[in-house]
Amino acid sequence: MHWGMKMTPERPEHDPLADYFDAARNHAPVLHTELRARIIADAAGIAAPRPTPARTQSRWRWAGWAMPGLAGGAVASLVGFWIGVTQPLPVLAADVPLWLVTPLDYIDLMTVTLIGFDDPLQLEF
Amino acid sequence: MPLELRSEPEQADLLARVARGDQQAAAYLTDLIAPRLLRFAARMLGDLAEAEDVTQEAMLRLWRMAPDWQDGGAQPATWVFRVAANLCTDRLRRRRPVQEASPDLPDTGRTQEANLMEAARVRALETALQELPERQRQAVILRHLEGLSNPDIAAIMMVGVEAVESLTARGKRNLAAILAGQRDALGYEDDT
Repeated sequence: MHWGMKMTPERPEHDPLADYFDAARNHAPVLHTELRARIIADAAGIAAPRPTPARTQSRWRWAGWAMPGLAGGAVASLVGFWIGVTQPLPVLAADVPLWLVTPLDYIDLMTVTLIGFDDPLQLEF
Repeated sequence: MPLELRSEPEQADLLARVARGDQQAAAYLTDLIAPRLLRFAARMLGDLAEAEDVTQEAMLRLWRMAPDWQDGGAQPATWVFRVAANLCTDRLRRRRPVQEASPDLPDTGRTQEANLMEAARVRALETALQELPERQRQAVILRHLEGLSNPDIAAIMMVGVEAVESLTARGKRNLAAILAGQRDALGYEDDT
């Protein structure tokens, strides 16, 4: 359907809606000065306060409160790691004072030489 | 003033100046974008007062985004058109299916009869636009009344360019069908 062709005979391929669009563009609503002023005033209101330092400070304040807890957790982790990974000491060494370790080693040496065992309990008395 | 939404590299710079309190930049961006937003919203909603609210709200959201605007993404104009489109959608969903009020028409200084005829065509088009499905209406307004490119429209509507072409074509077909019955009343002579 080519309605509107008689209005524009020089352009047979003329878009039938073009006249409507042209008319609508010619009669478009305009931005009046009050609305323009309000929009620009909004921009002024938004741009004024920029609390960047305060935000940074509050972040660090939060970090400050968390720091003791984080430090405690880190220490506990290290201690647990140390206990779990380090080779456990021999029972003897853990039970006796350090100054007795060397003499006891000598006793072990003698008992092994004399009776063939380092532990007298193995004699089944 | 023509607005090429995607070829305005200084828009982001202007927005950064707005964030620093530069009123001249705010005025420039307002003059660049707000008139188009107003026309778009008025045609989407068929109500000038609501369109003004949408325009101010969309621009306000742009100003609020200004301090955190990330360069390299969408252009500010594209972004704010998307906001306006969403605001229009919200209002259309809240609204009962009623009025078709045409925006106030400025006097163009032509003869009274020509003005009346053109005003009648504008009203017919505005009314017909309101009968289109929302997405088709958006595409037709942005393409044929705002003169945006298909890639710009695709960015605003968040669809592909092919979808924009399809929406525009279907919208125009529907518009033509709606307006066909009124052409005698609107001063068009029948060619049969």
